[in-house]
Amino acid sequence: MATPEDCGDTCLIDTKKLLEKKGAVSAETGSDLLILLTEGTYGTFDGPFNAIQIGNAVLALEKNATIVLLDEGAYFGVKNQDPSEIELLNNTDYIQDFLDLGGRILALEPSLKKRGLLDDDLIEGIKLIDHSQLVQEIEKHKASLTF
Amino acid sequence: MNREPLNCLGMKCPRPIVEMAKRTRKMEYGEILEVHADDPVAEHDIPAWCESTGNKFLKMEKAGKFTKYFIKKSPKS
Repeated sequence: MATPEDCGDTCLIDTKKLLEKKGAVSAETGSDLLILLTEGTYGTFDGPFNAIQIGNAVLALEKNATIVLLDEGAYFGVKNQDPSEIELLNNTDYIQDFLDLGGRILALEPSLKKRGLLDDDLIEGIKLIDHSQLVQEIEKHKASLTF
Repeated sequence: MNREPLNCLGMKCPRPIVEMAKRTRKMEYGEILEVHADDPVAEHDIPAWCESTGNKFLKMEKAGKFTKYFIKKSPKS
């Protein structure tokens, strides 16, 4: 059987280890994951790409996942994004997969406004929230990752 | 109902299980899903995904440069 080491840095998620921790995760942190995305997309260290891959893997395992876009992360949800000129994969299909698999993507409205973005600039299915709703999301999730 | 094999050739972890999740949502219980994948990590990812989701992992077969995986859609027990 292959191991994650066999694939070098191409393997983002070790589902076997994830499952081994399933019991502990269920007892201590619940099965819902909150991903706080604060980085702008398509950077040299592309946290947003990793975030959406992790989110999709969690949803594929039939757990719940929510991504909140805030600060520079607001750019992650912009529709018609096209990074082909810098030769990077387009995240749009991964974002659509996340939404199709039942994931929620929320965008902090003040972060959008600060960057001159409007609701209409975002991919359909992304919902706006304010600061109080962000706090509620953090409170109701027992496990979170920040990129 | 016969379906085309799910082509995951060239996809790296975790893409195959994401595509499997998308496909199996459209399937009925008892239907068989055939997956073609060449990522070596799929050899433990796909059985682990089945264990997590309740789907039955039937078998895998080497087919040259890739592997065929057979999964039966099953209710989560």
